Amino acid sequence: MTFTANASRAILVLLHWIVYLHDTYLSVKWLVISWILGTAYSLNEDSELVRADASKLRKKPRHLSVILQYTNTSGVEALIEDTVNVVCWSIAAGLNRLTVYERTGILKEDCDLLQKILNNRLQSYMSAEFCTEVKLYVPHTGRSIGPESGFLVSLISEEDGKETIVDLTKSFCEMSAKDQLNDQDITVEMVDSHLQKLVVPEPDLLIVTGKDSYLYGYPPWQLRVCEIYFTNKSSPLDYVSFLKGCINYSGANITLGR
Amino acid sequence: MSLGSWISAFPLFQYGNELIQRGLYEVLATGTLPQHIGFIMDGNRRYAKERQVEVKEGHTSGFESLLELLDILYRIKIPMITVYAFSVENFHRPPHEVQAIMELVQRSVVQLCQLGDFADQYDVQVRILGDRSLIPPLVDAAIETAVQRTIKNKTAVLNICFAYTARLDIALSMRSIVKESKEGRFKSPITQQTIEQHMFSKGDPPVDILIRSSGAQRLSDFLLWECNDDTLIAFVDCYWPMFTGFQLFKILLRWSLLYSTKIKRKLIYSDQN
Repeated sequence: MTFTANASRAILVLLHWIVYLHDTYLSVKWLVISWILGTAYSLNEDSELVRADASKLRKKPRHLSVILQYTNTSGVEALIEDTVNVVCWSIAAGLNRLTVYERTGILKEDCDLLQKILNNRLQSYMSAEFCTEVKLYVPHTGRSIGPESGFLVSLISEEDGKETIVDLTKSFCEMSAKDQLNDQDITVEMVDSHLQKLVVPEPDLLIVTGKDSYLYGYPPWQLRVCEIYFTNKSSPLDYVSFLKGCINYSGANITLGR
Repeated sequence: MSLGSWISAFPLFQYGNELIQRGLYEVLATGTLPQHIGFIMDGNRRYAKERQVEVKEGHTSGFESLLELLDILYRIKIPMITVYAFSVENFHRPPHEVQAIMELVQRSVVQLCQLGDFADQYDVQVRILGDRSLIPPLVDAAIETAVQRTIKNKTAVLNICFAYTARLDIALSMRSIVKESKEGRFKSPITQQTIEQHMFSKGDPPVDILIRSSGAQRLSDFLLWECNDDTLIAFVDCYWPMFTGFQLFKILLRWSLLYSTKIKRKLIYSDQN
């Protein structure tokens, strides 16, 4: 079967269009579904519902991480709204900690504002006996706000990824120059213990928002065997995606090479 | 046997199938193609279990499946493919299975590199990425001789990750940088590129697509550094031996669409500025 170059090119464009239309159909379908769901439930005010959903999970992620997308059009407010939502759902679902990754780092610039909004929302969201406080932590600067016992939310960005590994290498070089470190001492375990302190330990589940399945510069070291769930939606992180990610995780069976 | 598999067993059907597939890939090749694809070949054991055959046979059909895909990819001139054959973690499997995989990899690499066989047919250079000190010496020696035979091939590369994990790769890279800096060999500051130049995959083009079979949605310590940004991740819900050229085609088609829209977006953006 041979095609002339032009015909082949035309077919390729046609195939691209088919994929594109298929994707558009799916996202429109999703918009309709989420609109219907949104009118039926008001998830943002109901922690009981989240708790009930989570109790059905066979296995819950202890450490959840999400990749949120910043766009100029929706601004920081949308980002904060997303963060607040996912913190509420995580607490209601009984997870242990949360790490929010946002590439540019704009989210962690104004922690005080985020903390204020979070506390306000949590008060109205959680029923009195479950009311928890949040401890916000920015590993890159070492800054933290909120009580020590609070639900730990780490805010990270691109600089916590490859750049931190470069910085760690530099400080190893300095230590080695002063004869404080032998190069043979650098092992996976040793690097891991440093990076756990400098950034975050590896999450159990990573939920990635964004239309396409990319990892958007997420810290590579922390990606080792964590379960990855792509929402494949450009819209903000919605509850259904959050739940789907958790359900996916509860069905996952990690064998670690065995 | 279901009706579908009965029909698909006809030689004529298979022939037609192959023709259509070949045509589709020719169409794809008129657009931009990825320069580097990574594969996590997962699910060989579960495939064997489901068919109630020995684990070894699962791995063998996995290798055959790989050969088929390599055949397609090298024919449309994709210059670099990296596959995950054996992780450092895999050494924890039962000894007889470890030995079976070792034998299989050894046999497969030797077969791939043999004169007039696959590697020469497509002018492919075969490389082994991983901590060679962990591989049993006899296996390592056999692989090394086989790989040396392909070193002159320049058109394409097949990276086989053997006794590999991405974290080990990064840690070893850091170690050699520290060693070199101690010896005073660094003139310029250390950057991300310095780390990349000390990794197993040094000099390779960025990975455009990472494909994992068997439905597991994890990277399993494979190409973490290389895949955390501009790599399209595709988790496919079927065992590796059942992964077909058509499924691969769908992924490549999506990538080529994404790539062309990205280029267009960049053009618009640069027009605005």
